Amino acid sequence: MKRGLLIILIGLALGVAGGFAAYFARTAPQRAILCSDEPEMAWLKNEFHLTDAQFTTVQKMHEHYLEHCAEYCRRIAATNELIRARISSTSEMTPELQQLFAGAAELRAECQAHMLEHCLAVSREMSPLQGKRYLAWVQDQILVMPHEQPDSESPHAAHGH
Amino acid sequence: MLLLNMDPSHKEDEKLQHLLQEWKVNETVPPRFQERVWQRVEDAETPTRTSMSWFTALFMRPAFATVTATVLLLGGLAIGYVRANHDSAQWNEQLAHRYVALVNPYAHEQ
Repeated sequence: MKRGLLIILIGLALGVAGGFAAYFARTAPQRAILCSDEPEMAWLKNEFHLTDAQFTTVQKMHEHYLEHCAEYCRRIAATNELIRARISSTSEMTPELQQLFAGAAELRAECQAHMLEHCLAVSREMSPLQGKRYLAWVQDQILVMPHEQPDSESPHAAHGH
Repeated sequence: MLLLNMDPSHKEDEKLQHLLQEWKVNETVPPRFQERVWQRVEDAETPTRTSMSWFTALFMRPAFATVTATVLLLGGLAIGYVRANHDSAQWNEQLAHRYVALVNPYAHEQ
């Protein structure tokens, strides 16, 4: 009787320990990514199987891109602020507002072109297969219309400019 | 009748003793009588076995306990693995969104 109980208790203890071991072993790569200095870039390396050399190049490209991206963000924020100020001071569409919207659209097109250029350059640094996969994925993320992907995360928390 | 008519006197007492000595039991004891008596005593002393105790007894058998322990171990491993897969997928998705948010200033509009 006691032997049977002991066997079951050992089995239970091993089951719990095994469960934790399996969990920590399986999530080890993701936890390492989350604890890294740049989790997003570490994720890119892991997801698209970048070699260390490829990753170093992509990282430099990313840093270079972010410098330009910060400038775009500043211009987008300034344009949006200006549009909001004009809207709050008028009750009808004015030529100035139309011009501001045209400018915002132009800025958006410029920004998206620059973004796509960067993504194409990143994909070229990857192996052909991974580059193709990255490009297909990133196109879905960048070119979709707002109503096609309603639950995306807010960028300004992570965008960091 | 004998008891009712009993006289406390010494003479009557002697008579009673005599009668008791003459009394013989001619009835035969049924087979395994003693064993049955002890079985009934034992049954009366031990609590009634319920289906629960039968179930517990089954699990306490070493062979069955070993199978149970193995199932518990495999179950623990499976739960840990499935939970890890779920969490990994969730973290991956979050990181993917964060990467997009990092490169796309318009990501919040999507």
